[in-house]
Amino acid sequence: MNSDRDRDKLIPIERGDQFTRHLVTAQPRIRGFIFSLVGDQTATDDILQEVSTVLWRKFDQFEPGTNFTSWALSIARFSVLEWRRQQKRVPLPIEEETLHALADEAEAFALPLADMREPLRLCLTQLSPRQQQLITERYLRDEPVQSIATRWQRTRMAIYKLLNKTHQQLLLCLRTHA
Amino acid sequence: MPELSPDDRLLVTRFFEEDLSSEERALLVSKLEGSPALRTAYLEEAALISLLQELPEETLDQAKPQRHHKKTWLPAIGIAAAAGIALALFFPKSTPAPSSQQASIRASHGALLINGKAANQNSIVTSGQTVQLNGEHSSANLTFSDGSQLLLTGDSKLTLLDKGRRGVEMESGVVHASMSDHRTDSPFLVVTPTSRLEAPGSRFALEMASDKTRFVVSEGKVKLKDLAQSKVQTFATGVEVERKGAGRFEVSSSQRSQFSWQYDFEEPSPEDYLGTPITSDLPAGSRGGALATASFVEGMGRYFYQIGFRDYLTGLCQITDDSHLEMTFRTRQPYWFNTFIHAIDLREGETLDVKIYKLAPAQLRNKGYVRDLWNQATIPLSAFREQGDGSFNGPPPEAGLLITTLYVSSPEPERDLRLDDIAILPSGEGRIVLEPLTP
Repeated sequence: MNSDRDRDKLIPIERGDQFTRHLVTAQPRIRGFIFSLVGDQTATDDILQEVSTVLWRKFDQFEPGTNFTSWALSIARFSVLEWRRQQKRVPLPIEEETLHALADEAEAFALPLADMREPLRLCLTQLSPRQQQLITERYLRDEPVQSIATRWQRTRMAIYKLLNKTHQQLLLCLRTHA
Repeated sequence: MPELSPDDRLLVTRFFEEDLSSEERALLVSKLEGSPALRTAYLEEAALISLLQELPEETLDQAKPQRHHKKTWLPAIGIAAAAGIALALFFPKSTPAPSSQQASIRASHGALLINGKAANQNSIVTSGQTVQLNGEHSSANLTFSDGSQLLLTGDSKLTLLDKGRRGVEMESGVVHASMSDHRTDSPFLVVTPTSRLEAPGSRFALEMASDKTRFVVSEGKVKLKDLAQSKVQTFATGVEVERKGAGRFEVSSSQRSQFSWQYDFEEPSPEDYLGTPITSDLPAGSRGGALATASFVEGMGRYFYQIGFRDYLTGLCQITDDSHLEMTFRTRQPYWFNTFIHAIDLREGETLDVKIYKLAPAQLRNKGYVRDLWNQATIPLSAFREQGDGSFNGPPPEAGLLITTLYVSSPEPERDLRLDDIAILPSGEGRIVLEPLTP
């Protein structure tokens, strides 16, 4: 589109398609950004939906050809700040100044999430069966660590150590694909 | 890679599991403020966890043995409607009829009672005993010694005949029957207060309520004796029969499409649906929708609020290799709703059973949904997974299964889950697509 006039001529159904395409591509990145600043999955989903709604309402302000993800992350940052101000307690009680620094680093973060799904699938196959089982139970079935520990007859800390080791292995593997 | 102590890395992992004390959290904050290396590690782990949480289920699935069923589906349910169903089961003449009968019972879901007492999910019932299922989501499979099977669904109750007779007396509920064609001197009977049914080698479904009796035969011939009139009629596949009260049997034929089903809440539907009808705050041009209000308590004591559709007798439609669910919906809260399908396998030679499939909420994430707006969704049924061992990690629904119930559920009423229209179609895009309707 070359002008505001052209954009105004865009019929609503095309606008909806455009928005959906942008959002589907950007949403993993937005979600990861929010999660890194909030540290809580439930709150992340809450804020993500709020951000999606705001993006939709403001979509006519988005300049086609510019970076949708960057635009979305700026709105997400504002939403995270708003959310923190409304909470009596937050999972990550850092100062707002530190939060901005963390947000800057998160935005510039090297891992492009949306591009890492295929490499992640490959990296998952390189885990041991035990590690794959842990990933399945923790993230696919959303089982709490304590529940896994009870069933595996291990301590909670032992499961955390295995989980952390598994995360580090996956990150190492993903860096080779970055 | 940032050089960090194992304890610091563990602190980050435990933070994302919400398993830190307030002192530990303060420690993490202090370290994040002072250590760029820890911030990098923190952001890496957040990014990874977020990605793992959003991966499609099949990414993490281990390879599982696949079932292969090559038997032919006899498409009787879609065109079947029984004017009357007579059920008979004969043992081979060389085998004398037993003086008593027994059946093994396996309850897949819900509360099972035998003679009014709670029973194990796997039990044996004998002549004169009453089997009762409680709960609309219940199901139980009775297998008799000649191979005949009865699948009870929902709130149902029957009694095994005694005094040398073989069969059951239906009191209430829905039963799907698959009758052995073994013949004996003592026919297998299904008895109701007004009728007696015999149908060796046939498949049929029978619904008993206080004010009506309804039959559908899907395969074979069924002989019905009207006890009030001592009249015997035989009905073959393709006719539906309903009797209200003590009135006469009314015969009709079902024209329902075999492989598709849809409902827009605007015209009265012959099928029951659960939920509250709404006529406002709908997409432009729509005259009807539904709000998830019907509630049930599942095994762990949790409430679910749902819009549900069920037809245990004729089913909604049959699943194909490419079936899709399409719906227009809206919900307020960000946690996704759950979508369940109950399906029964009536293919020749297959065990009668109710299979439950669920669409994992995570499958709908990152697909473009916008909260508080009406969104359209297309979802291949291959994205659903069968329940097994308490988790929904089994295979997707197979072609040939008959959908008997469809639920769209939300764990809390505050999520304000609404439907405008919903459909099962025989084909689709082959992937999950969500997009908001333009306001």
